[in-house]
Amino acid sequence: MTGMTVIVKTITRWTAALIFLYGAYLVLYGHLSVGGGFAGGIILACSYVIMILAYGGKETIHALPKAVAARLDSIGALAFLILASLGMFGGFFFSNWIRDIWPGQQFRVFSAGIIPLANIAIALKVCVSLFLIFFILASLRMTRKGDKIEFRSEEVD
Amino acid sequence: MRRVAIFIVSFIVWCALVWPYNSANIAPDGTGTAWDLQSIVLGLFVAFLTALLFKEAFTTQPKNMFSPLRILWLLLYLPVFLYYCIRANLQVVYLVLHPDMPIKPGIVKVKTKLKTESGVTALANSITLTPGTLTVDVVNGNELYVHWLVVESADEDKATEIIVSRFEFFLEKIFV
Amino acid sequence: MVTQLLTFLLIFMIIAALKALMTPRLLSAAISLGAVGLGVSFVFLLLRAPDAAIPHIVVEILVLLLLIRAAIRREVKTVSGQRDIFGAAVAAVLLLLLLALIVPVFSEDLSFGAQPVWAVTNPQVELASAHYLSRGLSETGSANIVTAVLLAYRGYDTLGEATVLFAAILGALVLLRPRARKPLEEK
Repeated sequence: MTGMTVIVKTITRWTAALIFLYGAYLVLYGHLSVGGGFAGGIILACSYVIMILAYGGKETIHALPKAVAARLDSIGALAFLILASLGMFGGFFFSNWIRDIWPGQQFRVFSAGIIPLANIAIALKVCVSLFLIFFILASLRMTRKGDKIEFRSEEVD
Repeated sequence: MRRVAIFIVSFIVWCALVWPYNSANIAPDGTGTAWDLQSIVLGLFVAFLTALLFKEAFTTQPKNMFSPLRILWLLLYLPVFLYYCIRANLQVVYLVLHPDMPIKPGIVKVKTKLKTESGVTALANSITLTPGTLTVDVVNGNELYVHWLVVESADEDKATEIIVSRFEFFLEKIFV
Repeated sequence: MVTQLLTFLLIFMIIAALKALMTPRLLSAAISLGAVGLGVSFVFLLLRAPDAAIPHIVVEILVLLLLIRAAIRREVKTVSGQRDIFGAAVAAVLLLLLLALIVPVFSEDLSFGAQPVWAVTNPQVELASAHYLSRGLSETGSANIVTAVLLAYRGYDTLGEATVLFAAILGALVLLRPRARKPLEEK
């Protein structure tokens, strides 16, 4: 996984952060407009996938190490589960108890209780999962030896 | 310093996405504010996160990033580029509609005086966006291989004069 | 207008899918599959479901990238071999059965978004969709009804989806790592 030409690298340098900002907007405004955890998380993952494609795996894994990514993945899943479990304070699993305490103003960012928080947790989960899957599968190499097809990973960690 | 530049640009982009000003938020009796403070606070946080995660975004020389002279040259460059783009479009239309199709395609090598990566990228993209010429590859940081629909000259210097110099004059001043 | 566009997209997707099946070259098969995905996301957009269209088109691009990376610059570029007659026969029978079941549904001439007949004849029955639309904002506080359904009304489903994703990434990480964590014992 070596990088591409200087043109692709520079354009990636200009656009990766913009893609990240748009993904963050979709996640954080998921309860107000189009978007949400899944859509936003996938676009967040794209900002790293484009870096894998332009710079190659080694540079990208330096920016988001695999161990950190795996932990973030677990944190996202656990955060969603904990948010759901904390609903027990409101009486049942997934109850929106934050909204009962502090309803916020409709159509504003800080409203709707646990829904934005759950969106963030799911976005973290989806983003890091897709990044890891893409990284692992992109570094997979397929070679043919005689009649046998052999798979091996090119990444070094 | 670079992170501060990324922070500022990210915050501007966030504000363009969210548009935190809405006069409909003012109540009829004049109370309330048109500015959505919550999204501005959120934008500061997101911009901070972006500056933390993307250390190489947007720029390599943050000192020159907000220089007004460069932005002025950029604004001047846009109509010039648009003129060349439209002119090349019409030329290609002429070539296509001509019954003999007088094309002479080939790849020529040109050289540029631009030193920064951003400048070379902008030049390559300008050449590609102009119909009839297409950047194939960049070698050694300042040598471009350009596919040309009608090769007027295979000579390196002359091809540089025809293809590159019209854009280079402006790009040199934008990407110092 | 929407119906004609949908029909056009459907034909386009069927042609692309047939192309993906028939071509022996892996790269063209991957690109044809991408065309099918593009058609699906356009259908979502036409049916006014951008919440479904955005993830779909982005995932489609990612999968296409992965397939192209897997298909090009490899020694295995084409597929060949005999077609499995039994499998083809089973698929044909299933498709015909599905077609026979679908035809009466579409011959009822339901317009898009219309309520089913039993809901119109029984007005005391309240549809779930009508409930979400009328009371979603006041009950969950989320202006986006899709998010309200995903995270409030159908929270368990989302939890299950997250679990499936977690299992998938766990399997990929464990099976495709470059080397074992513990060195294999020499025998």
